[in-house]
Amino acid sequence: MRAHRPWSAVAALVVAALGVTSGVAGADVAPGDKIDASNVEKAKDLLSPGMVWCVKRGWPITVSETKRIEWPQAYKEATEKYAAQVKLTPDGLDVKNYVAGLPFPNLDPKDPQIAYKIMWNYSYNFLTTDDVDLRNFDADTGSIPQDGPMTVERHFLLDHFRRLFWTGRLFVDPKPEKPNPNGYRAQQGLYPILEPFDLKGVGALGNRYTDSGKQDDSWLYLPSLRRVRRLSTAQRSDALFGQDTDVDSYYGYSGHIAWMDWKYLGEREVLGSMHGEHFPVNWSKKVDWAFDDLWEKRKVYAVEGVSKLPQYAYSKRVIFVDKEGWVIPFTDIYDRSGELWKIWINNMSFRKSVPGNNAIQYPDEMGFIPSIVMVDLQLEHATKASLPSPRFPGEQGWYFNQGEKAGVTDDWFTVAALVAAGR
Amino acid sequence: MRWRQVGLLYLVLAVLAVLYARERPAAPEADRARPPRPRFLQVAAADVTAVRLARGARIVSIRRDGDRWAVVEPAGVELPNDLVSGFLQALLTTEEIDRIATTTGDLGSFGLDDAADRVELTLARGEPVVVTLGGTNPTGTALYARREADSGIVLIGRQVRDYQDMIYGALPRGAVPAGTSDGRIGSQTPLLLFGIAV
Repeated sequence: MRAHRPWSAVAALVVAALGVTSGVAGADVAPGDKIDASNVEKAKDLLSPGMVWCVKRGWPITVSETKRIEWPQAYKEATEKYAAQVKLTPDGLDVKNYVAGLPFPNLDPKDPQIAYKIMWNYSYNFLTTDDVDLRNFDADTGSIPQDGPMTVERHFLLDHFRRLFWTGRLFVDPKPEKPNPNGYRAQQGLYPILEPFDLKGVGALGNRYTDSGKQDDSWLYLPSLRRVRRLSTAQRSDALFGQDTDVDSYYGYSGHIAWMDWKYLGEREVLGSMHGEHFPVNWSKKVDWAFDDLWEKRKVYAVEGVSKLPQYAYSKRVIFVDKEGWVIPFTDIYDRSGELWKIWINNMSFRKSVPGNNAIQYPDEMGFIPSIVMVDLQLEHATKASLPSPRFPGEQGWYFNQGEKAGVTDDWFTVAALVAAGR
Repeated sequence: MRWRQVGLLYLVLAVLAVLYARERPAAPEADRARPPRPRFLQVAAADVTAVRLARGARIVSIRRDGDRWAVVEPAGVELPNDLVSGFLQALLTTEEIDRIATTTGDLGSFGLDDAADRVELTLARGEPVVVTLGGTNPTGTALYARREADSGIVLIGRQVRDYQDMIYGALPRGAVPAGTSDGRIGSQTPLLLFGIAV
C-alpha cells in the first residue's frame, strides 16, 4: 500500500493539473454558465461586438447544451432531389433551376462565390417554405439605461404579419410553385396596427420577384392621410413608426440577396438562442428589453453585406448565418461612418409545438421566434417585440404552412385589402 | 381663348411658382446640419500592396498577390480573401467622426499608448501609412485612432477594430503566441508536470 502513495500523489496532481488546464482552456463557456457584464470577457470570442455591448448593458445569457436543428423531412428530400441541378449565375445575383430545398448544401470556403451561396441558402431556408401567419404580437420601443428597464415611449399591438411564398413550396398545394404569372418569389404584409391609437390602421405590404432585376414593390398605408405611399427600395432601411426596426432587418436580413455585395468573412463559433425554452417570451426581470433564455454554441458563417443603393441608411451589415439551421442569431449593423449602430437579435425556438390551447402539432420542428430585439447602440434605444404577445394567453402566435386555414390567401396581399383593414 | 386670358393664366402661374419657391418644404434638418466628414485615410485600396497588423507580440503580415491576399506571417496560415479586403475597406472608408485632441499629451487614456494596436499599410507609391488604434469611446460604437503623420486623435468607426478582431480570431489557435493579451492561455504552453507535457 505504502508503495502506491507517490503514484497516488502524482495522479492527484495530474488530475488537478488537468482540472486547471480544462478550466483555462475554457476562456470559453460551458452549459450552465451565466454570462453577464461581470464575466463577458469569457464569452467575447463567441459574441459579436454588438452582442458584447448588450451584455455589458445588462443582457443575461444562460448557456445550454448545443442541440441539433433538424430539417423538415420534405425539405431534406427536396434538397437531395434538386440541389445538384441548381446553378448560381457568374455575378451571383440569380439562382437558376431552383425548385425547392436548400440550393447549395455543399459549400467550399475557397469558392469565390461562397458568400453569395451562403446568402442564397439563407434566403431559401426552411423557416418558412410555404406560408406563415404571425398573429397578435406587440412591441415596445424606448430608451435603455445601464442595467435597468426600458423607458417605454411607444407601445404597439399588431394584428398580422403574413408571408406567402410562391416558389419552393413543400406542404400546401399547389407545390412546388403556385401558378405564377407575376413571377413572385414571395408576398409579405404587416397590418393592421391596432395600437397606438394614432397609428391605428397603418400597414405595409410588399411583393418580391424571382427576377433579381426587379425591385420589390413596397407600399405603406397611412389612414390619417388616406394615402397609400410607395416606398423605394432604399427606404427599406429606414426605421418606421418611431421604432428602431427597418423592414430590411426583419429576421436578421430581409432584403433581396441581389441588392447587396457580399463578402465571406469566415467561419466561427458564436452563442445563439436557437432552442429557447420559453414560449411566450420571458423578458429579463431587471433588464426588461432583453429576453432571458437559453443560448448555445453554434457554428456560423460570417458574411458582410454592403448595399448597392446609394441612399441606404447602413454602410454594412455583418450577418452570422447558422450552418445547420440557415437562420441568423444576430446581425451587427454599421452606419455610413463605420460606427457600430444597431444590432438585430433573434430569440429562436425550434420545436414541434408550443404551449397553448389546440396548438398545432407539426411533424417537424418549426422555427418559432418568441421574440426579437433591435437595439440602437448610438442612441441607447431599443425595440423589443413579443411574438406573440403574452397578453393573449394560449395564442400560439406562429402558424406555419396552414394556407387558407390561417387566412393566408392571395387577396390578403393586395393594396385594397390593406386599405380595407385600415379603415 | 383670347390673348388676354392666356396672359392672365401665365401671370397666375408665375405667382404660384413664386409662392411655391418660397413655401416649399426645406431639406431635412439632419442633412443640412451634418457637414460631410473627411475620410480618416486618403488612400485608395488599389494602392495598398501589403498590410501589417501588430497587436502586442502578435504580428499578421499580408501582401497582395494578384487579385488575392497572401498571409506572409504567421507562415502557413490562410485567411479568407474577403476578410482581408473587408478589413482594408473598413479602414480606408471610415470617416473622422470627431477630432478629440490636437496634443499627444495623454495618449494612454485613449488606449493609444505603446501597447496599442498598429496597422501599417505599404503603398505602391509613397511612404507607408501607419495607424495606431486605441480604445473605444464610452458608448462603445467608435474607436480612438491616430495617424503617425498626424499628432491629433480622431474618433473613427469601430468596424475597423471588429474586422481586425475577426482576422486575429480566424488565425489557427496554434498561431497564437502564449503570454500575449489575446493568447489563449494553455493553448500554446504545455503544462509540464515532472517534465512531462500534460
